[in-house]
Amino acid sequence: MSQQHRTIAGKILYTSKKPEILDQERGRETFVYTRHSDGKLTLRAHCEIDEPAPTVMRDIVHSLDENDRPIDCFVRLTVGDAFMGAGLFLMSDDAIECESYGPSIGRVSQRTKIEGGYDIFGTHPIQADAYSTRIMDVSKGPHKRKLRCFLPSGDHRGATPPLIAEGLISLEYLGDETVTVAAGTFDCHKFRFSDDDDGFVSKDGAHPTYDVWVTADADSIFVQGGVGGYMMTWYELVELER
Amino acid sequence: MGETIFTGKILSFHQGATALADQIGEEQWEIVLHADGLRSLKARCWLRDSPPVLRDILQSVDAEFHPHDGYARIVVDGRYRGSAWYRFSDTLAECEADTVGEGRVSQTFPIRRGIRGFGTHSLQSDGWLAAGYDLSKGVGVQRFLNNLMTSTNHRGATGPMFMTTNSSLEYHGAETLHVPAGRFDCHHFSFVVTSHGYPPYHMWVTTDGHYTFVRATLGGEHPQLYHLVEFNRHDS
Repeated sequence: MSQQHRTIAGKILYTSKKPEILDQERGRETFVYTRHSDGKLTLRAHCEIDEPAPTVMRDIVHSLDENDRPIDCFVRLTVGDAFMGAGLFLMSDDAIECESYGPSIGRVSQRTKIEGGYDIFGTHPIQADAYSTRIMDVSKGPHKRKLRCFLPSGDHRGATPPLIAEGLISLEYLGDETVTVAAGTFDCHKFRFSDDDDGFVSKDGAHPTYDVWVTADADSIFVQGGVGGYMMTWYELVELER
Repeated sequence: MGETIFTGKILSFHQGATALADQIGEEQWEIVLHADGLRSLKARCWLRDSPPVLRDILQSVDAEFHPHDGYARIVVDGRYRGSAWYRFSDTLAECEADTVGEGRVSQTFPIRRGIRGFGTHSLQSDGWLAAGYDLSKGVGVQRFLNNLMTSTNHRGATGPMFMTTNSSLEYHGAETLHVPAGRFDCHHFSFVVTSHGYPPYHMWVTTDGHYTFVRATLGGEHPQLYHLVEFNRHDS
């Protein structure tokens, strides 16, 4: 008997738009996600950020139900090649729980009651960003809305020990384009994340504008994208198997 | 990033059938050796026999293979079974789990350094269990009690949470093996004095100190063979 799930695997290359390292590789992400027979989905992603220092290695296993609502998420972080933390997030209808440990935070148990619902649980892999755009109703045509987000780190690189964080971010559907990258040519929806409400302010200011092109199909695969401002990053799908 | 990364793939077969088309399971794994001394294993395991099991494991051990942290997520027959978070110190093991069968579970167990690792049912993770055997004492049996596992089910298809077994390790000596991934100098171990009706299980792991799983045989009514079919090392 064979597995009933469908598997999609890919690799995203992280490059830079900073003049001194223009178009040079600065990281990489491999992802595998499985769509199960009951409609649930599990995304596994391994992310490596080489630049800027300190380096970040992130492992994520994030699962969503048949309605794309989060079920659970495990995050493990290595920063500067040293263990930063490992945490499990469990989501129910009215709360998010976090069980976490890291050398700088010790052993932490959190439970945040959710009042009024939320839109996405952001986990920081680029492919997860792409999948989260499914919250937008593209049948309405180009439009913009604010998203209430929970996430395991409010840091722009997700490089803090796993703990429950919350913020507001704007997401705009800009229309459709056909995009060619190393992994092939894809019909895409184009979206823009923007931190209009300063929901993710760090020492470097609000999160810079982040454009993403996502396959215009049920898989919502990241094809290309980039973050402006001080980050000056670019991301591109270089391998895809489905 | 300055890490050493090992990647591998293990295939499972019913004994006597080793053609690729006959495989009944597959495990893809990656091990990263970090500068802080931790080594982390990611494994995605598919057991194809009915009911199929899909298991995701992330677990880390310190330089002496004492468990540090872990995560297990199990899908059985296409349905979510549970997920669990684990943390280990020198004296305490903790589990926080959510499972379909047991609900929300919090467990703690007192432990000590020198335990027989943490069994997650990843085959490569089985290889790490052999690090609990003191090789300086040569061939023989070393007894381990109350070993921590994610599940005592033979296929690891329950929990995940903490469950305990009393299986011990017998060391049979060194052997050189040829498997599809290549030729490896190995230590030959078997799990003995097993509990929960576990069939005889022999396992060969590399002698280079990394305890890389190379081959195993499982006895009982439905004997199986597991062997390493891909192995790579990347230094960056």
